[in-house]
Amino acid sequence: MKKRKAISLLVLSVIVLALWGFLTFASFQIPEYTIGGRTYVNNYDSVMSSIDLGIDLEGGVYVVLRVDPEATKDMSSREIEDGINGSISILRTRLDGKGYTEATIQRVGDDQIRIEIPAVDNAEEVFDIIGKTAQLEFRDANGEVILTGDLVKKAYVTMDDNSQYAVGLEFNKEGTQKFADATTSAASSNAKIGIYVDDELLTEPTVNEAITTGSAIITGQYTYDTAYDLAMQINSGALKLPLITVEPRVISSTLGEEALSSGLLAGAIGLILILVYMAVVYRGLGLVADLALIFYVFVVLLFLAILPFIQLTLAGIAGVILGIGMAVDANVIIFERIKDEYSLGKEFEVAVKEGFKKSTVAILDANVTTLIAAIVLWILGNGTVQGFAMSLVVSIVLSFISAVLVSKFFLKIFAAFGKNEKFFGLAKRNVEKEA
Amino acid sequence: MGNIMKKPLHVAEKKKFWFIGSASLILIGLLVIIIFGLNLGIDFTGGATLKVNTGAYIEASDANATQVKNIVDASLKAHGLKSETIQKSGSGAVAGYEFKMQLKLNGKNASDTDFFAALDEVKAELEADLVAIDGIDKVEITYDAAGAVATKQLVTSTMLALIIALALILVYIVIRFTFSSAIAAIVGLTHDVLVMLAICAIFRVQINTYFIAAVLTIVGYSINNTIIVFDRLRENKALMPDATDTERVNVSISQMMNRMIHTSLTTLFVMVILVVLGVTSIREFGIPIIVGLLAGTYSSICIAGPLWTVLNGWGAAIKNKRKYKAKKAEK
Repeated sequence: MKKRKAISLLVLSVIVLALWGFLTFASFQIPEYTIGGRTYVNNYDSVMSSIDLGIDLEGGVYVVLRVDPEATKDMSSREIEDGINGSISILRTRLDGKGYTEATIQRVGDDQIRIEIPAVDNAEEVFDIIGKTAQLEFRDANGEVILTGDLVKKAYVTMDDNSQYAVGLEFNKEGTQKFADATTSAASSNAKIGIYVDDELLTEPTVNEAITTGSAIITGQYTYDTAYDLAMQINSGALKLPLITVEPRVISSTLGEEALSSGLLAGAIGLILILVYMAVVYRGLGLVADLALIFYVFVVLLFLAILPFIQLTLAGIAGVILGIGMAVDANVIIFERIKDEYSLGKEFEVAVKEGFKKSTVAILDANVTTLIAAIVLWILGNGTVQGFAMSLVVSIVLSFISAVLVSKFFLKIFAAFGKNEKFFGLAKRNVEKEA
Repeated sequence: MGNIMKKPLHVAEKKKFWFIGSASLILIGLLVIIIFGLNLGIDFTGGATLKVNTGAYIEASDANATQVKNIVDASLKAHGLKSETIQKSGSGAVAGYEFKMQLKLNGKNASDTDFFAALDEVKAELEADLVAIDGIDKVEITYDAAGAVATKQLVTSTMLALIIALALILVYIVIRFTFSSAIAAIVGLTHDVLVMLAICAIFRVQINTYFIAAVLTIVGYSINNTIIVFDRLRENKALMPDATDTERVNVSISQMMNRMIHTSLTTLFVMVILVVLGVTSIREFGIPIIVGLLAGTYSSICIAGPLWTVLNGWGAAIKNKRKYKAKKAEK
């Protein structure tokens, strides 16, 4: 590489890193601008602030619900399965309805539901919403309750005569009777019957004819998914799947913020220490590692912010730190190798080339083994473990790229300025003296 | 080769010393676990931690602190709850107390639902009572509570995932290295996790779900460390065809010494600072990780390599025996 090219590349890299760093940490208002007569006012949110935080860092409510094994021992696993899916969809509707749109509701294992709601002020309200059993009601045009969910035997996805998805209903004996009465009177005036879950109107089909067979279908503009959701909601209202709370947590946002800010501060101090340490121990090579490490930190934060499935938790921070450790390790291995090769009397370029070549295999093997573990934990683990595994997978891949490729790039630039032994902390062994 | 001519450390010869040292530490830890059990947090035992945060008020005087503690204790008692330990947490604006209790109501094992309900009532009551005190403007009451089942399932599912992960790692190392290396690596990382458990048991470090994340971090770190040593061993096998396994291990470890020191130190920097500055939950995984880092560095130097020589020795002995038998059969 020519010196002039190296200078421009170095300046460019430093500018890019500085700008990137700015965009990573600073949020600001974008100056107003006008396009085609319209004025736009936008805010830029820093990468850091766009990272989706877990409950333990942001504060909020975390609840694990479990199917009551006592009350469901007569139910088939299929019924429980449908009940859980129905309950999840009901919880979703309820929480959305109350404005908790950021809630994540996940199924865990065979019989559990995990709910995480960030930044909650009123934990009691959330527990109330979650705690109550879904109530399914059919109401006539006047709002009178015709029949309740416990009279529905089951709801399922089916097709109507026009091959459109629809939701099929089957009533028990009492339900059949009540439904027949209600539809007979409704059909005479083409009235509607509303289906409510927890007082929320799910759908309001028009009754075309009296239904006395004990089964009915609800037609509408359904896709398979929406029909399935509705069927599950009705089922869950009908089944009244008993859920018990096994793990309620209320994490104060102050404590969450404290955990996050102290974690960030510690991370920043730790990182600076590493940067200084590397520069002191490896001099010029250390500076190369420092630039690569800064790149790693920025790119990890960026990925944490843009990957939609990743939520940063405390355990996730452990994963990122392990990644920093592995990135530093990879650079240390490479530099020790370069030093060895150089001390044997090889030319600078040869020593660098051999150093990278011979260490890459070791680094790759080490990364692949850790990656195997991380991927398995991602797939099979849950909760804390999954959060850790996700951030570890991202960290390993990025740390390998930054430690091997990015540091090689910077080393080439540095080398163009001259191969000063002292600057790079290299020395040739004096063979005669040793002999 | 670079450092070959430098005086190598005699690590592999002292293998008995290392093995016995590690085994004793782990044994003591196991004894402590058998006799006293682990200091399990509520994640594992079921129960709750009620955090009452009144800000600077309780720091103003001892009388204030006692007053707040008494009010909370009385309220807990009235609802059949009993705080086992009371711990100060945070300082300044986030100063408060943590009241830890078992999954019990009126001294008897309680159902999750009843227990959580009582906790909820205490929370509502305290919020009203404490704000009424002059000098407290803001009360924040939160709780962590766990029934008896939630964490057990997390542990079982993680154990299963870990066993599958280790099996796959084993296969990978066998393919890329040798069978002895794979066994030595797995023993090495088991050693690290056991040492973590032993130290945490001996020093009564509280174990919660974050401990699981710490264990996983160390598994990753330990594997990484060991593989790097074995890679050098693999390379030196070609470079030193006439050397014994012991010599090869000594040379490889000596060559990797610089790297071990630099890598361990840098990772330790971050963790120590995290533990010093961090909140309780961060410490819960930070301290075990620091123990694990030290154990991991030690085991990749003193356990994995020397064990590899022993396993290779056994492998050779078995091969010789087979050969001998085959020869005998020929005769």
